Amino acid sequence: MIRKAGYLILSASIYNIFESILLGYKYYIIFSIILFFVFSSDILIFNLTTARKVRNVEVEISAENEKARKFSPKEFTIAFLNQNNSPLSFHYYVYSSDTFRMAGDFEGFLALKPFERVVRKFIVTPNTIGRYRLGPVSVYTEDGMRFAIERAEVSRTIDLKVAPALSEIMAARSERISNMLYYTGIHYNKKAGQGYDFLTLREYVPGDEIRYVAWSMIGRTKGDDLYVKQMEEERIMDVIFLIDYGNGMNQGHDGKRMFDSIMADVIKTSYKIRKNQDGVGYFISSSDINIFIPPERTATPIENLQKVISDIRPSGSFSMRYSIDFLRRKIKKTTMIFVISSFEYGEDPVSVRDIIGSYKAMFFVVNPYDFVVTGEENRTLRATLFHKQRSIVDRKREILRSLGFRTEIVGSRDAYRKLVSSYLYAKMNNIGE
Amino acid sequence: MGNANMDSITGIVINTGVMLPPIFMAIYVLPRIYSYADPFILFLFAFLPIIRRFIGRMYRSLVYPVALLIAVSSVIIWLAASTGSIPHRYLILGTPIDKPFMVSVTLVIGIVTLLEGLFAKKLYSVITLMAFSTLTFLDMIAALIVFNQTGYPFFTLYIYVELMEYEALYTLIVYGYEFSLPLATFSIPINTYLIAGFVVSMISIIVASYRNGNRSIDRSNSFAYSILYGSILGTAAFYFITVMSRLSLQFLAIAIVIVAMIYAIIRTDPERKADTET
Repeated sequence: MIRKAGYLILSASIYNIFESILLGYKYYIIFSIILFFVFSSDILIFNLTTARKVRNVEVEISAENEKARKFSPKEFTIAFLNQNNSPLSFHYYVYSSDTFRMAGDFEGFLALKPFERVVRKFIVTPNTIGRYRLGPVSVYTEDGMRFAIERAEVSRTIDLKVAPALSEIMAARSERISNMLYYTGIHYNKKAGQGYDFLTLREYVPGDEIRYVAWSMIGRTKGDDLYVKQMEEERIMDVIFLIDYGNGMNQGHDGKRMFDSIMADVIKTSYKIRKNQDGVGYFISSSDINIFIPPERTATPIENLQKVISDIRPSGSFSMRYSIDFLRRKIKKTTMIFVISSFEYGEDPVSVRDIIGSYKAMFFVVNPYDFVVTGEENRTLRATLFHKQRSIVDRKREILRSLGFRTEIVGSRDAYRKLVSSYLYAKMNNIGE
Repeated sequence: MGNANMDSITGIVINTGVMLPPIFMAIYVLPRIYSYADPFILFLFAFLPIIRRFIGRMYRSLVYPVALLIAVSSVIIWLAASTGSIPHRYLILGTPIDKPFMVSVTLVIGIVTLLEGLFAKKLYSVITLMAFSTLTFLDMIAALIVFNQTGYPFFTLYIYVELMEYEALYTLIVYGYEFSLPLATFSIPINTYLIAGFVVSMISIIVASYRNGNRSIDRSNSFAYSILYGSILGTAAFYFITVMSRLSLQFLAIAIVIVAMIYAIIRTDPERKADTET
């Protein structure tokens, strides 16, 4: 392929020839014609020799497996084999995603002898969850004067599945540390009712069952007063996270993306809920993705979620009406629904109230401002966005609150705290019963 | 920093080599034509390529527009003063559109392209600017030769030479041969210098291409072959065109040579082949 510089130089040479011929100055004509032929021969020889050899380079890109964890470096190997019977030098680079930090020999210049094989290694450190493409390897070579370039995309592509970082989801902490972390705060798990554990005593009222009368306490204060034993029963609440996975959640920039940050906080909250012996499930929804993980009182849904989100990325649009409608058919009325979305879609919020009906739901509006690009050079952009964004998000919250839903604005720093406090609020107020 | 400076000095030296033919022509033409030019326009533009290099990057792109604005304002002042729209005393600030003005404009094009070519970073810019500068100065040399022989006003002769070129272009396209070639008709006094200049220019262009290109072993081989084959093909093409001009088929010959080469380049492009296969 001729480069822009090649086209320009050929045009300039042709113009030179015509002008020199019009002037009729013999020596300038010779000069112009030779110049044109030197340049065009350079491209022609390149096309006939070096350019044809590039496609005969065999490149194999490989790794131990195609799974990775966020922030964990993963090593890849590229093997080059020159299948030409003449030496060949070329540049190469690996196509990658902007969510990968690359190190090592992922790009460079190689000069290979005939049938020589060379192996290069590079390291990829993902900084966002999801499935991303790595490769193919692009090999390109230029002519001596850099007027033409030949590029070939050799090798296969690798679909790298990036799971959340262990450091972010707290799953790999030791039991003692995790107990300390998870059991801070209120963990009220029981309520008065029919059970086996004694809770307290209260004065007898007509209608109480005789079998609960505390006979040993008769006449303890007034002489003929009668008390009944108040028992307590286990209180279990299932939480289902309805997570918007449409394009509206694909905001943010390098290393700080909305869906990535929210997912880490959802997983952390899920572990906390799980420690409280409550059930947790998920519904990841968009027009392109529909993944329902039913609530269970084990760690299985959380592990499944981690697998699922390492294989997808937000795409399509989100419909609250469709998602709630779907959930209504799958879950019990007592299940608490945590709806997490950036609410970037034009759906009438009033209709949500009617669809949810007697189901329990809390809303979390993700604030895009938390994910705007940082750095000194973007200060004006951030300052402009701050007020506008804040008023939009506040308005969304007010609309949802006016419909009677507990609603929080969450960002990259406070999502976990607000999710956990909402869960505890639901427990304390027996909402999910 | 040191390396960058060294690089840019080497670049300017090589560019000087490339621009040698227009430099020789400028040395010959300028002292002889200077007196027929408008000094205001000449000095306003002639040093701009050098001034541009010494002022901040932010204002660099404003240099030519500002100079053009000054020139246009001066012309407008002259128009207004001579038509009586503004007091006559302002005429001193005006620049009349007359023969010296036109000579200055032509000289300015030659000088500015020459100086810009000396400082240009990209090889194709240097060659394009060299072509523009060479052609402008060659026109002037032709006009100067006629001027020396006939003694008619210089600018009239410049227009005459230009008209000869247009006539040649017309006959070339309509009849297939040139009727009147300015520099074929008159002999150039600095011919020897110009031939040497073209040789040095060619060598400098090759050096510049080598410097610009990739210097790995296989690339250097193809580079050497391209110069060898280019020179052989170029010389053959020149003789082919010369022979064809005797049959009045020069235009056809040039067109065939250029189109054949461009066709060969396109035809041999492996990417095109890969596209057709898929």
